[in-house]
Amino acid sequence: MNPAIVLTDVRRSFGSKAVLRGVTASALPGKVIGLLGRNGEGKTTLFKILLDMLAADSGSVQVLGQSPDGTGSLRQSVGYVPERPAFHGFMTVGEVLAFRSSLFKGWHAGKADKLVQDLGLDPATPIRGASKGTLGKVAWVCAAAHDPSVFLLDEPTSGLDALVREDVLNHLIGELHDGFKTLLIANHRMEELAGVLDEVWLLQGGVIRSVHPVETLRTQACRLTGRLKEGAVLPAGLPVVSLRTDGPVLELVVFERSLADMLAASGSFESLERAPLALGESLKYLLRLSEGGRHD
Amino acid sequence: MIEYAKLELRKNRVLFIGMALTFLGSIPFAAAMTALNRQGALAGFNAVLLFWTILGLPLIAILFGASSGAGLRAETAQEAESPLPVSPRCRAGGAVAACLAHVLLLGMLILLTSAVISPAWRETLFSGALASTFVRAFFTLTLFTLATLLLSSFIAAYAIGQGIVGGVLGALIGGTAAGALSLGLGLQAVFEVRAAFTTLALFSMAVSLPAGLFALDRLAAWVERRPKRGWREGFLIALATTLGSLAACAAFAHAYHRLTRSLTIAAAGDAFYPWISTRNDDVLFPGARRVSRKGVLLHSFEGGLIWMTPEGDRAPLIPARPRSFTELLGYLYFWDRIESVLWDADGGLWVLVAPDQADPVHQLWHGWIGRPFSLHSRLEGRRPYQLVRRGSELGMLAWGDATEDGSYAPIPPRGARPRWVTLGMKRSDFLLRGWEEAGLAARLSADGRTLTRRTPDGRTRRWTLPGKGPAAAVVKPTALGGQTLFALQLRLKDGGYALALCRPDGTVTTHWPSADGASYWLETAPDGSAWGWRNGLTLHLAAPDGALLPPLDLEPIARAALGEKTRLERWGNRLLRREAFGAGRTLTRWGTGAVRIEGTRAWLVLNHRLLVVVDAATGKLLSRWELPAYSDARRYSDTTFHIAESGFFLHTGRRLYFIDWAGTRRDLGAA
Repeated sequence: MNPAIVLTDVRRSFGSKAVLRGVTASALPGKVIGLLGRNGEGKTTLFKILLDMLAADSGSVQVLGQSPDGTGSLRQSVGYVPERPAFHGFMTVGEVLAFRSSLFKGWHAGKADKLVQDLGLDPATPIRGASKGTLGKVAWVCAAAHDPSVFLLDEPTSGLDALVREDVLNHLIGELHDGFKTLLIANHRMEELAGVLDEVWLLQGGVIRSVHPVETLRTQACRLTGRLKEGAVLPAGLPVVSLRTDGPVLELVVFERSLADMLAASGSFESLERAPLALGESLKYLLRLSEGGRHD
Repeated sequence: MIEYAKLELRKNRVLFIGMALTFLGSIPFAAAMTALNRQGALAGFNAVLLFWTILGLPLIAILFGASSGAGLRAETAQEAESPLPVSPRCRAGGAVAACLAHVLLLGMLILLTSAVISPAWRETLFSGALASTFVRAFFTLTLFTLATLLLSSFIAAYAIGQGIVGGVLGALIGGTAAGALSLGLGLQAVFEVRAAFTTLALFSMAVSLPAGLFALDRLAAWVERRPKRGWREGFLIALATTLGSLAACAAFAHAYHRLTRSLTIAAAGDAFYPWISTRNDDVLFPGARRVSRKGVLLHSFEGGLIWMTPEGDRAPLIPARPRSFTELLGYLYFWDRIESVLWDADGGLWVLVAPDQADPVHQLWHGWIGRPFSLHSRLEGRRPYQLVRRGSELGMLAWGDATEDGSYAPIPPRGARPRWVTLGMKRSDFLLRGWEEAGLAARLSADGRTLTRRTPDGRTRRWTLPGKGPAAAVVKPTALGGQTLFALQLRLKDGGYALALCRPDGTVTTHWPSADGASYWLETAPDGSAWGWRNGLTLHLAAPDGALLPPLDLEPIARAALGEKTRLERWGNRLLRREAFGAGRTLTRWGTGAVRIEGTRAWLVLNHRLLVVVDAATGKLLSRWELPAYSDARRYSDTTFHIAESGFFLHTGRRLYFIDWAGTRRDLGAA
């Protein structure tokens, strides 16, 4: 099966600041992938490159076998929900959808109407002055109505109230997951999506530092609590999140069983206890890992 | 792109409606203001319409371009539009198209309102004036100006994301292009022949707009996707944006350079009225004839007078005085410093030099070819414009408010002031009276049946005519076959016409009878031959020995020389002549005529394109040579063509050639 998204050594700088330093990853069709990374790591930049809204300095990008070529045609087969949805203020919701329908070849009016209904949108609502939630919903309709195979969701629940967020998370994303769509989602509250994720990409330092199958996280991530032997130290740079250090007592989160086994077998601990982690918690700690929470 | 254009139309509709209302509101406002000042409402209408046409529309184009360019770059527009499945090129192109549509709609509104309110505009629009070259050029230039101002403002504002600065930059870039083309076309309007600019202007326009669109395309990709391209891409975009302005400036500089380096044939005498023309007077006087047809007089743009031989040897007669560009603008209509030249009977040359900033009075120079010319007089007070021959006397005409108010003065002795007299009658009558008083011209009787010549010593010669000539007309002499005689058209008793030649021995002979008019004005060639037209289709030829040849039908000659489908222009069809001049398949009267007759062989020039030799007795085409291609802007044979003894000079608008009687062409260089 050919990957829906392939990124090979993608680099992008803004002036002297290198944001992406060689992103390499691929996503199989039907997978829901969470993109974890701290602020400014380049998640939005990566999305824009995937959408052909921004040119990569080097490397190759393929979405559904198509490379960004500057024509914007790639966006016909991608649904995009931006972090801050924006539409022309002089339009109403209905006019926004009508305008988009004239640009997207695969626009499905029936589907758009159903989404409008499901999300409780009023087509007559003027965009100027509309709430963040309304704009978010409109963005969802715009992203989904042309029935794309790949979705890029950049903080899709940002600004949505709890009810809407639940709607989006449980209803829309689940439906897309079931429909064998490929989703790449950046979300600071990734734990909300725990139920639908297949994989998590950890973006750090401008590269995909690690890829974590969610099943592995679910079954192998654990909390380790132990007392270090006198004079023993943990090797630096281990992919663990340090939760607490109280003299020789350490509390760590590890995401792979093999690492936990390695620590247990290292002889550095007088005692070491393992406690399984809920997936939501694992994702939360992964984000901390991406934010520099690793053990030094 | 269409959807995007629609979106942009909607985005700018407030601005559009605002501008339309401002325009409509300004009309009654201006009318009221002028009415209050007791100048009449129409003056207000015209002033405000002139403002909107000349200044308002270009400002609107800049406003739309700059606001749309900056708007497209604005963060809100970027966020709303960049995720859409269209290319940056489409976005930018659609925005420009929408702006252009708005500007053109406003232009149409202004134009139609002008047509409703202003009688002058109505006449321009609906009375066929649109077909005129000048109006077409104005509209083309206006459309280009609007397009280039809009595009450059859009590009500048889009590039820097700032409407006001972008508008200023766009106005500078587009305004430079439009200004250079306006100046160039203005020069062409004044110096038609010497500053041909239409092709250069069209070339500049053809370069400007595609280059601007290319810049927009590259810029859109750069601005939207921000690829790593560096200063080379920036330079390319800047170059493409300004290429139109650079091309227009280069075109203008080229035209101006050509203009200032150009040489123009200086035709001696005048040709205001064919029947009193002094153009060929030199052939009446052997002294003048010996010199005047051995070369050609050329005046340079910078005011010099040059004598050039068929071999291309140049002898400066009057020195040139280079002038600055600003001086050119100040003296646009009085640029030709060499205002008039005239041969005297001895072969000397008189030259009237117009004033300029360095010397604000007319100067009269005199000299002989091959000898230095000298300043004869400074003519303070009046504004002479023409050297004329008034019988045996040479003089000057000066302007008056009406033709009768003009003044005349004989050429004064060296250094003396001219003694001006008011004409008190039409210029032609005044001049002919001089010819008559000198005994050189003859006058028809009131019944047109006798021609009388009175010499100053009191002798009288009277010819009784076998028909009726124009009543009381004065007839200038014609040189033919070594004789000075009088040629005039007679209406015969049978209702037909014929050319009457009144010879010095008192005899009258009639020739070339015709039902529809005869040649009453014979053009004299340097070899002593003469020729005239009938109906624009028949040539009447007289050999240097005075032998009158049978009428020569031009139709078969034209078909043989120019092609079977050649159309023949008739007399008086002025419009056709203007449209068809230079066309390959129409024989036109301008540029067609006889240049030499030897025995029964006649050398004819057709349309200034072909030199042919025909057997005048049979009309058979004997030889045919293509002449150098000339600019179709050169409508006037006075500055195109000069017949000399051994051939003729042809000014193509770009170069000067000499063609001898064997058809050999000699390139005498850029002119």
